Amino acid sequence: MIATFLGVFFILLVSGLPIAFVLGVTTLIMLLLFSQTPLIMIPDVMYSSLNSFTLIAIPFFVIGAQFMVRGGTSKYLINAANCYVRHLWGGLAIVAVLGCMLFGAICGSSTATALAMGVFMIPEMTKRGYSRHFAAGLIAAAGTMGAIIPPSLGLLLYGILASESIPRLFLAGVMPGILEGALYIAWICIYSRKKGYRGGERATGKETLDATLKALPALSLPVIVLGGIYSGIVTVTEAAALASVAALAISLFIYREVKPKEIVSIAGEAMMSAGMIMFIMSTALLFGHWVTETGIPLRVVAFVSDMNLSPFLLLLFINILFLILGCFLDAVSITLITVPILLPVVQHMGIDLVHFGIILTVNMELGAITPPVGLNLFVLAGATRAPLSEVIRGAFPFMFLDLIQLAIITYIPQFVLFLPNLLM
Amino acid sequence: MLGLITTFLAFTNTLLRYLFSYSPEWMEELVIYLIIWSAFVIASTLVEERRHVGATFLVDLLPPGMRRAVEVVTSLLALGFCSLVLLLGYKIVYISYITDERSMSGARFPTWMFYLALPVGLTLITARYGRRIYRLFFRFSPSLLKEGHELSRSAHDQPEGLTPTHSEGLK
Repeated sequence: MIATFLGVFFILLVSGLPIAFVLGVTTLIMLLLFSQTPLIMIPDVMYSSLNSFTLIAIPFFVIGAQFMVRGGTSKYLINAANCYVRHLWGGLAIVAVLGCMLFGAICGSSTATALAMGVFMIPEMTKRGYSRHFAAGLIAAAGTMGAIIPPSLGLLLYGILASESIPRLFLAGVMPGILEGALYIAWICIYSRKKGYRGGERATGKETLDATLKALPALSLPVIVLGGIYSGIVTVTEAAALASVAALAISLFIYREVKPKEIVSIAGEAMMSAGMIMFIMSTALLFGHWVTETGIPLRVVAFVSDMNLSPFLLLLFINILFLILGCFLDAVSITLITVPILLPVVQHMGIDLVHFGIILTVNMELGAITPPVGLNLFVLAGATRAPLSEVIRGAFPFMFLDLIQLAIITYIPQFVLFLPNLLM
Repeated sequence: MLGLITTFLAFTNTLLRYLFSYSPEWMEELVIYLIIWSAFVIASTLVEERRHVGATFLVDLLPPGMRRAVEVVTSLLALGFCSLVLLLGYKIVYISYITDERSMSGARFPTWMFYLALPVGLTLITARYGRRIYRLFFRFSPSLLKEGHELSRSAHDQPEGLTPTHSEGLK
């Protein structure tokens, strides 16, 4: 049965059939061949899998992010960051990293972060003498911080699948995000000295104050969202809804870059991406349902305990698996396919599920910049009209930095967990 | 199609604002159901615009003729899956309708109204795949094989927000 399953699954997967249908068709074929379960459970599971109040945080976060992208928020964040660091070596590149971190604290998607920052920063950086491949690669990689710094769509999805506390997951993402930013900045400092990317003149006090004040409305968003969640006033879903309304208000009334007539089209565009995630979710949970029913996860658990793997080796194997999958699939699909199978194993080995969620998410970040399929690479190549190979070349050093980050967070669980343990 | 979706959305957005002043459970339920409805309807629009994510890196290497054949097979598979599930979906709607099943909240919505989202969405998807297969056979053009992100890059170009219009720049 497992051979048939793997055969069907991989053939469909590489055939270019959308992932949502790959999962649906595979499950259907397996049910027809090997199971007595009445098929009526298919629509039932597909429907009830979406019937969750936590799940609808996804469209709200996506809508909020879309308004922030279109609302010019990135510009004000960049201006503020620019005043603090522009006199350093590679100042503008550091601004890009800081900008991505700040934007990541507003928005939960790495592609949206890369796009929002890239559209503004890459022309700016090339104008100041940075090479285009460096600028595009940097933003592609730094954009992935959007998916690990809370709020995070990936962590939200994982939290729903693993029934793990989403506020805890969000908190656990903070340190890895800061670590990634720090590694990038360190690399930029080295690289810029070598290449002679000098900084600009130091900003005056007045200028700095002015830019900071202008960035405050944008910076207030993470305070509202995360403050709301951790003070226990609102649930994650309500916080997401609040964020989308606040993002709308900020881009409409304060920065005034969104016109009222654009609201519908922006929200519609966001709903398209959210709808895509939700549709995959419905067939993926159907698939997960079937996988659990067959007892495949239990067999994997038995297999792993027979092999006498240490958690160290197990995590190494899982990381390698994720890295390979990350080259070919997008983050949502990988999460939805692997989590139902791997979760029992990870639990059996005594690995903290929050820790595992962070490992997964960091791997997915790497997946967003590894060719041949790396969403951030595509998006930036599209937005800058640079050839894809150029963006890949630029992102290459950052992949190594991500690997260092991955090693640290995988093997020092305390680094990830101390913040949620301290605060919750 | 998009109009329909965004009406849903505008509606939910207004609901939201109420959600914060007072939050009765039926409102919560309604928001979930509206979003499920729009998710299934959107799924069909995404089929039309080729924006569902899939692993196309291997089939992209195939010569166009082969590529077309693979497309026909995969479209037929998707069509088969959707049409089977939509029939089963209508069955659930029917069962829930004749047994008059009601939702959990105070409002007691009849649940068939929500179950209906799935078969309706799948009907739309089936129709779009049907049209796609027809085109692949009889009205073939190479652009049929392109992915959503390739299409948007050439066709309607960049949405206005993406062009760097911020002229003042950094110092």
